[in-house]
Amino acid sequence: MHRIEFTLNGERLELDVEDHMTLLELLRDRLGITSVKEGCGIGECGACTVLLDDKPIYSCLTLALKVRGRDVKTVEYLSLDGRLHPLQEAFIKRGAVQCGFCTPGMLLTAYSLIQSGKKVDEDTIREALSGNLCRCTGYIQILEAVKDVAHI
Amino acid sequence: MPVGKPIERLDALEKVLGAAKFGADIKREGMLYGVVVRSQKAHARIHHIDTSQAQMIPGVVKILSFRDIPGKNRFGVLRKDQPYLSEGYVRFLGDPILLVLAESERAAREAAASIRITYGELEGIFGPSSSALSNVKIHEDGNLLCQKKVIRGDIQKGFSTSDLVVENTYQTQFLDHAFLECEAGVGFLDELGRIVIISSTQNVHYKRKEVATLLALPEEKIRVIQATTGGGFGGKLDMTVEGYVALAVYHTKRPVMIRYTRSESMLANTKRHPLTISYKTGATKDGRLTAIQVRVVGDTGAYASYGEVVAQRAAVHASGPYEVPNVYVESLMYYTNNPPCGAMRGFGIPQMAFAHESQMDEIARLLGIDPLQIRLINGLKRGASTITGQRLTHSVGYIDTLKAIEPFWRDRRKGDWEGYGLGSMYYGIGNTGVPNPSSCYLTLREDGKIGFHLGACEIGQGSDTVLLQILLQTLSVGPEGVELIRADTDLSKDAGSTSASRQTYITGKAVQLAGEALKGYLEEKGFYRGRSLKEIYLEAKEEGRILFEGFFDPPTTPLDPQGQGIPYATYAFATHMTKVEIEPATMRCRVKKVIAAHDVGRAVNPVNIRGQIYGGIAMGIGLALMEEFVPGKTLNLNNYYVATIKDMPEVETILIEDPEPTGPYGAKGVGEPALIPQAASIVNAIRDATGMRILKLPCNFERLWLQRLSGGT
Amino acid sequence: MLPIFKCHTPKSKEEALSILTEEEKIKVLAGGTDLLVELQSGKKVENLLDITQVADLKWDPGSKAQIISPLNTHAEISGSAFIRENFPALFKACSLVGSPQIRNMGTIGGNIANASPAADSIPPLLIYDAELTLESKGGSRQMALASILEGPYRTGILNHELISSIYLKPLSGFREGYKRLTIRDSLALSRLSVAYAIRDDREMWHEIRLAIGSLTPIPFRAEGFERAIGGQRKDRGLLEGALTDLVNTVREMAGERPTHRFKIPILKELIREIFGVGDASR
Repeated sequence: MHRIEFTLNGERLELDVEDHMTLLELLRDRLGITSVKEGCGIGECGACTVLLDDKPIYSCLTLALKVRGRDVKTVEYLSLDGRLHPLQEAFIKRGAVQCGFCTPGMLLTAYSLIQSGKKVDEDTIREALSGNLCRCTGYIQILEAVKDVAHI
Repeated sequence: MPVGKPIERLDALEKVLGAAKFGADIKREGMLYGVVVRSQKAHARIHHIDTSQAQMIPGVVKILSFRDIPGKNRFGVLRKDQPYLSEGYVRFLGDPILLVLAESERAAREAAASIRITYGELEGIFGPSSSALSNVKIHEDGNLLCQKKVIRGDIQKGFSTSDLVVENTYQTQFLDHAFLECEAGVGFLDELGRIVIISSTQNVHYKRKEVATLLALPEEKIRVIQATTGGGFGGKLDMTVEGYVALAVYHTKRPVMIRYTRSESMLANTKRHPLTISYKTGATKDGRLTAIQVRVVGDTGAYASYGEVVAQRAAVHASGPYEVPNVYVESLMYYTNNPPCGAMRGFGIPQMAFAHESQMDEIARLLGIDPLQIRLINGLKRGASTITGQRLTHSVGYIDTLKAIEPFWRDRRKGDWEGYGLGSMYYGIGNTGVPNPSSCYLTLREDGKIGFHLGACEIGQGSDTVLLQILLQTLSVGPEGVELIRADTDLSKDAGSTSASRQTYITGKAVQLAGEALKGYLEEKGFYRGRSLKEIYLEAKEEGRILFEGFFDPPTTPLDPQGQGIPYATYAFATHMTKVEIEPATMRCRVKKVIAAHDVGRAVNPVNIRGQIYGGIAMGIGLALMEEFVPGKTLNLNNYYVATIKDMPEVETILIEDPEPTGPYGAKGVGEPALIPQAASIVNAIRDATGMRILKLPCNFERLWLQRLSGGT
Repeated sequence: MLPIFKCHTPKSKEEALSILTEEEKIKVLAGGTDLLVELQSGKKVENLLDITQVADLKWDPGSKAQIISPLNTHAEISGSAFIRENFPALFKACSLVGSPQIRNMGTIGGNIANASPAADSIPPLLIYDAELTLESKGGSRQMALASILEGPYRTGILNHELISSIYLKPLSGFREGYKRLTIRDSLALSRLSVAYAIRDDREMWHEIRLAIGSLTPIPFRAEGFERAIGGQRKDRGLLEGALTDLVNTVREMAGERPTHRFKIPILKELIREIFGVGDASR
């Protein structure tokens, strides 16, 4: 058992986690944040993506105890102020959502890119989103949505 | 006017917020977890099962076997040949044997892993040709599941009047649906003691029927509700977790969750049928098709599932969207000890399109005719007949798809190791030559809203939004006036499965008809002159007229033994043009550009349709270049490659609207058509780039290199 | 679902090394992108040692010249201007690993210790003659990377040792790169990889470095090939001869494998392309 203190969507949390608990399990099973999805359990699909210190990682391959002292963001963070983030609006408008299972992870990865301050073009978007699988949309409308927000 | 507008999806908001509840997101107080123990042998008798260790694991509540099934231990959409839990005999690697229930998922998984099963292995059959010849019987009735034929004209005469005959054999692979959300569901008893199941599914009413049979309960004792469903593509049509959840609730009276891990999903879920397609085509020197002789041999795996549907559809669509006077098609489906193959987007037609489109290009090449031209010459037009003898009288937009592509085709510029290819398809909307009804109803409600009771399952493709658009159009009301109640067997009528690209066309028509019934009533009551729905509701209640139903069953006829008849009321048509680039050193093929032209009848929601087409292209790239499920070897997504964003080309979509008179506002369907021509256009582009004719999918770098080494074509 | 284990989370190298000495059945956990996949897939372990919070094992790439921290992630390495300038083949390889998420998690030390035949970072590390410092409670030793790779997923790193730093020798005046063969461009395993460095001019191949991955039980430096054409006048026949010898070496190392039927011709094509005599015939 490890006592960890970390920030989740801007809020300080302190709790005990078992050694073998993954961050995915901590978020879904302990904290009820079911926006974080399990699609494969081995880091091959991206549905479990969360931001750790603002960088996308796979929460299925991350031990919960590793977030000690760090900052974790899930898709809920994007609309904390009660308003949709422009990315969420663009996803809706562009039809970038179909079944929606990849959507939270996809939004977080896109958010991390937009926030990074790096120069964004179509190639960098494709690169950034290349660790998030989507089986429904063929990605084109996702790409359009992110481009809209990046003003390209 | 809502029809024709890119209305935003109804479910998009909750999905971007991460708030949508998928099967595994639902929690109930005191919930048990179930894990299915599966066979580790492909064909065996079970000699002994030792659960002693599992029983000792703290938290284990029950371990159920086939003996605990109160009703029938068989399911199947057409042929009930699949046991929920093995009766001492297993037919494929992954065949379910036991169901372990425990207080925690960990305890259930540990217990399942600790169960020792000893098998007496039997000779396995792993392909249709050995299945046909073997004395080993996988099912009592023999190994041949079905044989379908389409016979028309005089095949001998057809070939004797040909100037050219092209003959090839094409082979396709097993595919996994790889929907992002694995199968999951929960069940519990409601206050009336009925069993409620909330699961990720494509058809709630069918599942209720199967569960009732499994538990020997009347259907009224079962309620099935669809959870938000993370993709289906045909893989959530068969029973997945529902039977196990129901059985567990039946025995424990407690809430139960079952969710498959990806490995379990890959082991348990149905696959796309591998087909071997021997295709002989005859043509005159001016490029007119005279005859086709096609033999399709498929592997349905251990159980029937949708095998017969695939065999039938493969036969009916064998020609592609072309007029052929002389036809002999034979389509056979065999049982094997491979994983059961079922429905997957296109029911065998993506495989058939790979064959008939390759044939068309070969004929064009050998006759020196442009590939687009040969399609124009032979393409189905208004007044033409399909190979089942169905005369097409309306909504035949095939030639329009070619004309739309033509400027791009003429304008193609080919660099080194680049190539362009065409792929065309036609696809019958709905089930094949059998009744295929859909119902829905509308209610007037006390709160002044119209209740929209819809049995159709939204699986991500957008049916909720499209069907609502049709209703709003019919009623001339805004979305705020309507509340959608979706896919709940208690609160909706059977709309049939979300499959065969049928929901927009069939349920859409039922919605329109229900809307018209209500509209007539509302007109009569002065709604359109300003009376409120609340007022009208009170009157309607007194009259006992608060429910307005719509029903549609497309006009089809059964096929005769020669495969002749009107199997579908309408067809979708499409052509894709694809540009590929080959990396010469590695023979890696990358798809660079796709132009996709689709006759959808009427584009109810253009943004949705584009989304379907893009998604179909992604799946077609997988089918052509990357995806391959190898039984016993493919265990997770680390060796099952679906397209990533980097694999997606630039895409241009062209929508053609040749309205279907029987459809809602002229609409047909696009879900499967989006995928069907893509792989075909890729292999034709590879032929253009390399001179190599691909006969086996997927054509990854490995296969392309080996073919290059063996001398190319 | 992971098996039940105890995970130690030392804050200092000293503490980490003590735990490694005390616990017998223990595995070192860094980014977790390989180890946790194994554990998710049913492998058991009693103890893990999470070294990612060990402050004195971590520094930015370039901040200690050519000494890389084993805890540098693939993203840190492929995001470092220092690495891009001085070790372009490594830069390229790390930018191709897995996916952005995997690169944010996985470390170079983990890639080495996991010793996958398909590890992207190993062939470039071999061309830079990477040397590892292996530390244990009793002391430390310097080992060439090439000498500790023993077999697929097997290294000569002892149970109580940690990789504490990785030293690279920069090459000057070379053109360097990394090429690989995958079924798709992201989330894919290398089926064949080549790291190279060439110092040449119009006439001569002055000096060559070539390392190959995903073909043999362990990635290897093609030393025979380097000697055969290094210092020689550019000549197609010479290159072809060296390729034939290289293929023989591969067959000696790996035995006959069905995948060689396509991998060997692809390897030859890739090398011809790298050396500017690509065969674009069909």
